[in-house]
Order: sequence, then structure tokens, then C-alpha cells
Amino acid sequence: MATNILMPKLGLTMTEGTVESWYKKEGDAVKKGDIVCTISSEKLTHDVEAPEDGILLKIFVEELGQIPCKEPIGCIGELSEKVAEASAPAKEPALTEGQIQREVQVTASPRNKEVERIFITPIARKIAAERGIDYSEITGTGGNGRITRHDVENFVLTVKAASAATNTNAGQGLSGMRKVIAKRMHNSLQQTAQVTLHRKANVSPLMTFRTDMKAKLGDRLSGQLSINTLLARAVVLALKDFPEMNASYANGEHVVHEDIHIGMAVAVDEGLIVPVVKDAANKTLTKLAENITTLISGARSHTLSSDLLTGSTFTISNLGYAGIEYFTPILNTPEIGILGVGAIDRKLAFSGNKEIVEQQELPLSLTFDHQVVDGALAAEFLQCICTYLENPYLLLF
Amino acid sequence: MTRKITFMKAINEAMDQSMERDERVILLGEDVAGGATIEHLGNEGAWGGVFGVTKGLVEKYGRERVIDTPISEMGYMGAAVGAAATGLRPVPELMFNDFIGFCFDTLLAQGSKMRYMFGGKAKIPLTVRTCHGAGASAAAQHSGSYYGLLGSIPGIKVVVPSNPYDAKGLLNAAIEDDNIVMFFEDKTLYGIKEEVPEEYYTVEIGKAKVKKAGSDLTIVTIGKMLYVALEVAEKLEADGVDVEVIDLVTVAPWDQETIINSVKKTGRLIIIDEANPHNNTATDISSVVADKAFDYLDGPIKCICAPNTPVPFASNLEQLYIPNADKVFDLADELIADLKKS
Repeated sequence: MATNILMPKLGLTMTEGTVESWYKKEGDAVKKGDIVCTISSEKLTHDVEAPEDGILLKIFVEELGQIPCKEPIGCIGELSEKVAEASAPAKEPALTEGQIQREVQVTASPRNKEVERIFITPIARKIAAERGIDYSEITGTGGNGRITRHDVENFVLTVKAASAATNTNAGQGLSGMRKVIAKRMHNSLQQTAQVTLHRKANVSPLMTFRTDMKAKLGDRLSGQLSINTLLARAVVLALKDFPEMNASYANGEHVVHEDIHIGMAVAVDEGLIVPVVKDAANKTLTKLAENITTLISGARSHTLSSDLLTGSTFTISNLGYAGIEYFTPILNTPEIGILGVGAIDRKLAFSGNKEIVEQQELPLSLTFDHQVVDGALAAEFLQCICTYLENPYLLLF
Repeated sequence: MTRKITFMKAINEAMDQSMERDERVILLGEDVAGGATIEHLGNEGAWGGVFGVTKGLVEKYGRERVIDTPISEMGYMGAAVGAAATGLRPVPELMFNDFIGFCFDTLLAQGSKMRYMFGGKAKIPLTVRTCHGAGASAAAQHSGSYYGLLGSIPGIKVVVPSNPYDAKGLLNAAIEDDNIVMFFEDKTLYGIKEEVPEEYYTVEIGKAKVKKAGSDLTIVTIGKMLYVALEVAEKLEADGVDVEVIDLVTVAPWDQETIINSVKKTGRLIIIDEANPHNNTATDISSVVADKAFDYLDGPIKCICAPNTPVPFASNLEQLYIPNADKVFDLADELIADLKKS
């Protein structure tokens, strides 16, 4: 029996993947566990291992071809075996560069992803043909995601309005993680209404608190009680107070999440990945510290399982190590909020009783999606984060 | 002038006026006269058919023209076909359309073929009145809707009126027609009242009626299903969906022009037919529209029919059997949902 190599499903949100490159040719012998190809999803790249010993009999999906998760991309067996027709996907021509670009544009589509077939009603097809519209660029809103007459007519309008914006070539000429990032960042800016708020928090008490804690906890602290950990805790507490910010919005679906999963942006050689602190709301400060330390080192050494790289509900991006103060982080869609963290600065300030004191200030930049939350709410949320940072004993509860 | 009369009275009036205009028109069937005009019975037994639709006619036209027959559908339907072939214009009453089996030899094998097989030398000006439809808790043998069966026979016309005005005009037109016309009366509509002209008039056979014009979605109905469609249209109007409702009126030959023009306009079609779901009028309309209006379709054609079972006796099950607005919203959701959004 020949065994199919399947497009893996990496995380709950992945519906389809792209075969980036094959390391084996048809006819090559492979051992179970050998890496046969690399695939990419919207969020990450992943090496696919051979499920059995044998010969790579057939490659169903060529490089750059896209296919839904759990569909066969190739098959392994003995030389004498015939590749069963049934095991091959119905059809999956390798996509052209043009089609890939288009895919970027329609990622918001709720369309039935049944192996790339586009459903369109007869009248819609006729009108599209009459007006010279390439209907593969239209998002269907009818039953089964089919394109209806209204969709074609509305498309004509939006094309006129957004002709400048539709010039997308995100990811063109790039490969691997770089391409994924290019698509995602471009997509984020296209699909959301991003606004960034800036303010600083007085973290002098926090720094004192941190020094105290480190000294007193000693060996009981297995991770680093870094500024990232304290920030993550402050963000978690603020998200509990403002559940509206722990949400996602994409494909016409607005979901406020119950669980809090914090993404921590980490720069690596190839680009940027965002490991996720799962269920961060139920972790104590020490547990959080341990978790973040492992995640970040895992991210840098590429040893994190794909599950730990997906599913965040809010992201923190820290550029403080490079002396950056304020910046405008881009939303990690479909999340609706991301907190940018800058470098702590020492300033002279007046204390409560008008004495000049040294104050440590942390610049914070909150980007939010104005489609689903307004500036006032986002401002209160940012203020809430500052309150927790400025009153660090609150972080313990 | 117009006044309001019931569906049943409108049918009675059509027979009355047709009999008055043309002495060749005769009625026959089980109890169509009842005890009327028989001395020892007086008018006590004068039912005028099982629902009383022919009541009063025997007194006016006598037993020679309003004939009570034995309980033998095969017998009197054969007599009616023979009478039609030889010069009368009979209007037999088949008490329930579920009894049509007895009549197939005379109607299908003989009556429907005579004009064709005799090279046009014979005419069969026969109007068979019969009653159909679920909703009266009359059980499986008295509640079916079999107009589709008859509508598939060449040489037979089939009409299904939905309201008193059409009932009167269509019955007059049927009696004037030189072919076999099956006239289907929904027993649950007998009581509805509407303005109906007193004078004689006809309604064209083979012409559907646009009961409500609309631009987003076409719903075609047969008989009382019209009222289901009007309810659906009213509910959707609140969501900004403009529904066109068409009463088919004639099942055979049905009005392709009106329906295809409507679908060309709206692109979307729902057909509501109380008949069982396979090989019925709805499936026929669906196949013709899919063929002739293919390039205009903006979604699948939805047929909302009764289930593939006999009509249940229990009234709660019977209500589930009859297509209603909820069933339309449920089964045709993919045709409706996106219209609401836009």
C-alpha cells in the first residue's frame, strides 16, 4: 500500500498550505522521518517528514502549489506499486505567480476552499464575461460561497474605488518565511484600520519591585523576571479588565476571546516569529517568567512546535533593546491589538512633594483596529496597562 | 356588479351560468343532485355533492342534466367521455382526486387520445371537477394533490385555481374548451371569500398570474401555496428583499413565458408545490427553467414540496406535511440569506 504524504494542519486556523520546495524527486528513496519538503501556511514554514520508508512515487502538488490541509501532496510506496488515482487530489495545478498574488487579496474570503474551484452562478459568469472582469478576484457571498450577480456588480464598484489599493504584489520575488511575512504584513495593513496611541509609564517602582523580587526569590525563580514578563502580566490583567481588546476580527467575523494567549514577537535570523504564551491569564508571575524564557530561547533555536507559534489573541513587540522609543507596530491579524514597547529612559521629574527625582519611563505604543474599537476605549486600555506597571504589587494578583 | 362570495359559491355560479348559456352542459357524479326533486325525500337529502358545490342546480336544471350516478367512477367517467365525444359538454365530479385510478382507462387510454387518433374528427369537451389538498384531516385517501399526474398526459389540460375569481372564470373557460380539462378544487379553500363579478366571464387557461411584482426573487406557486408565498414575500419585504410571486393557475400547459421572463429578471427561483416531491410540476418547471434560462440563473432552483409520503391523518403531522413559510426559509436559505445582506 502506498502511503500519502499529507499537507499538515498547523494550528486551528490553518485551512490550506503552500508547498514551498521539494527536497526529493519522484523516484528517490526516502526513510521514515526524512524531510521531503517544506510547506508554508499563512503564519509559518514547516518541514514535512516522510511517513514511511519507501520510494517517493509521485508528487501531487508541485512547488508553489496550494492545497487544503489533510489533502495528499505526494505519495510513498514500493517501486512496483501503482499510484492509486483515488489517492491523488481531484486537481491541483501549480499556481502561477499571478494567482498567488490574487490569493493574498482574497484571504478574507469565506469561500468554500474545495480545491480552489470557484463557484459562480450562470448570470454572474455572464455579466463578468460581458464586462471583461476576471471573476476569480471576486469574493462570493451566495450559498456555498458562490459568486452571485450582486457580487459581480458590487465588485465593479469597489474596483473603481480601490484600484490603487488592489495593486498587490506582496510576497513577489520572496520565498519562505520572508514571503509569509510580506503577505501577512501587507494583508494586515490592507484589511484593518490601524491607529497607534503612544504614552509613557513611570516604571521606577516597577524596577525597584523587580530588583526586590529577584533578590528575595533567588533560586525559586527558574525563568528571568524580565521586563517582558512584567509587561506580559500587566497586559494580561488589562485584557481581563478590557475583554473587548482580547478579540479578533477578520473575514466578517468579530470574536471576543475568553482565553488570553499572548504572542511575543521575536526577531530571528530569517525574519520574525511570534511564539505564544498559552492561557496566560492563569499563570502566576513566576510561571509566566519560566514560560517566556523557554519560548524565546526555543524560538531562537527553531525548536518550537508549530502549535506554540499560532493562536495568540494579543501580541507584544519589544524594540527597547535597540534604544527605540515609540513606533507603530503592525497588527498581527486577525488580532485587533498589539503593544509596542520601547527602551526605558531616565528623566528628571517632580515627585509628589515637588522634589526633583530620577524617574524611569517606559514608552508604550498601542496599535488597535479602529474597525472594532474606538480611540477612547483603546486609550483607557493603555492607561490601564500603565496603572498596573506603575503599581507593580497589583501584578501579583 | 361585484360582491363577495366563497370559492365554493363561485364554482357553483360558473356551472349555473354555463348550464344556462349552453344546454349541452350536464353534470354527473356521486350525489351531485342528492335527494333533491325526489318527492318522498323532499330537499332533505339535497347535498349537491359531498361538499355541496352543486347544491341548487338540480332544482333549476332537472335530473336530466344533473345526474346522480352509482358509486362507480369508472362507469360514469366512461359515460362522460362518451357523451363528450358525441356532442355534450359534460362536467363530471370526481369526489376526491385520490380516486383517479379508476378513471385512467377512460381519461388516459381513451379520452385523451381520441382527438389525436381520429385525426381531429372527434372533440372531447369534457371538464372533470375534482377536489384535492391536505389540511382537512381527511386522511391519505382523500387528501393528495395529483394534478401533476394528469398534467403529464398529452391532450389533457389541468387548472388549479387559488381564489374565487379565478375559480369561476377558469371553470367557465374549461367548459368552453373543446379538450379534456381537469379542474382541481382545494377543499381547504372552499370557504374563502372574495369579490367576484356576477356576470359570466372566463379566465384564460395556460396563463400564469403575477400576484406581486418584485425584482430579487421569483416564487411560483400552485393552488393554495400562493398564500405561503405571499407570507414569505411579506416577511422578506421587512428585510428589503423584493419578491415576485407568480400563481401558476394552469399546471398543463403551464405558462413558460411568464415564468422564464420573471427568472430572467430576478435570477432566482423557488417553486412551492403541495404535491409529492418527485416527477411533479415543480420538478418540471425547474428543469425547463434550468434549460431555457440557464444564463440568467443566480443560484440553484429550489423546489419546496410535500415529503415523499402519503398525507398523514393526524392533524399535527398533516400540518408538517404541507409546505409552509418556515420550510421555505429553511430549504431555500442559500437563495435568500445574501439578499438580506445587500
